[in-house]
Amino acid sequence: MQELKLKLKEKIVEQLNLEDIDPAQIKDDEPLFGEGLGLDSIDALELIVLLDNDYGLKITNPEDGKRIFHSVNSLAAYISEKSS
Amino acid sequence: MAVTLQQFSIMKVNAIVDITTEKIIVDGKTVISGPDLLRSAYLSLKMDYPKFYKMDQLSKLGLLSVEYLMKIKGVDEKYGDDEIAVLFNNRDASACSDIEHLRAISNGIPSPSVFVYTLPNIVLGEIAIRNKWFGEQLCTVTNSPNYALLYQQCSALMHKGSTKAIILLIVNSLENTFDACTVLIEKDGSVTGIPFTPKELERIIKKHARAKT
Repeated sequence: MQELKLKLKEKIVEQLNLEDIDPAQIKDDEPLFGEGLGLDSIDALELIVLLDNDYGLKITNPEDGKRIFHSVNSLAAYISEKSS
Repeated sequence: MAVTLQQFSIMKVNAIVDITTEKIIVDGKTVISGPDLLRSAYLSLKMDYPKFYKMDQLSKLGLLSVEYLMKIKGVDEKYGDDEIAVLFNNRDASACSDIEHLRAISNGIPSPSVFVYTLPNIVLGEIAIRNKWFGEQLCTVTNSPNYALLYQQCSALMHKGSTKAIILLIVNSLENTFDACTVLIEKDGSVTGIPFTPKELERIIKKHARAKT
């Protein structure tokens, strides 16, 4: 799981062009949107594309998105659950 | 409302920012040069605006040009948030992002962050958001700069509502090439300002074209 979280952090930084941020700086439980990493609605769409392209996972219910994209922890848990 | 020639004559050019692929020049003086120019300029200006990295090249050029006017010429201190109008003109529209979007479509799922820049007027939005401006905006795309038309558009903007200054942006970006010529036109120009006329605009843009080569 730790390896997946680290990979996700690297993908988030690369995919969302967060050039000022070191992946290691992102805390596992830090909110990705709002006060935490400060991502916006376009970033949310990019994360949906990332999940689809890299993990073959589609999110169709917006309410699920809020829970899944809360943090690296929740994102990793979702990928892990769907992949097992 | 009819605009007289006498009103036109009070417009003056008070700053020019030229960006080529190799250097950035403010009022004839090179302020930065070298590789990875736009990123280097962003860092040297200490903008602390991470959204910059997410923008397309066109928006980066527009944002940086205006930022130099802010930092070096202190434009933001002189005017209210609805007193600066921005006029954007270019030849290639948003072709830089359109091409990237086309590539993304061909490779599978398109990138939303590329798609949002597939309109040239997004540059104006990015500048307004960054500077919290609510002034007039105009976006035009022409094969080459039409000096008389740009002058008329500036005149119309200057005499509309609360506009006291205009930032005229002529920005092009296509694949690995880009350039931007930005002109600050003020209503109450200083005594050293150059009177803004179609002929002066032509001189400025032709000088910029020479700087590219």
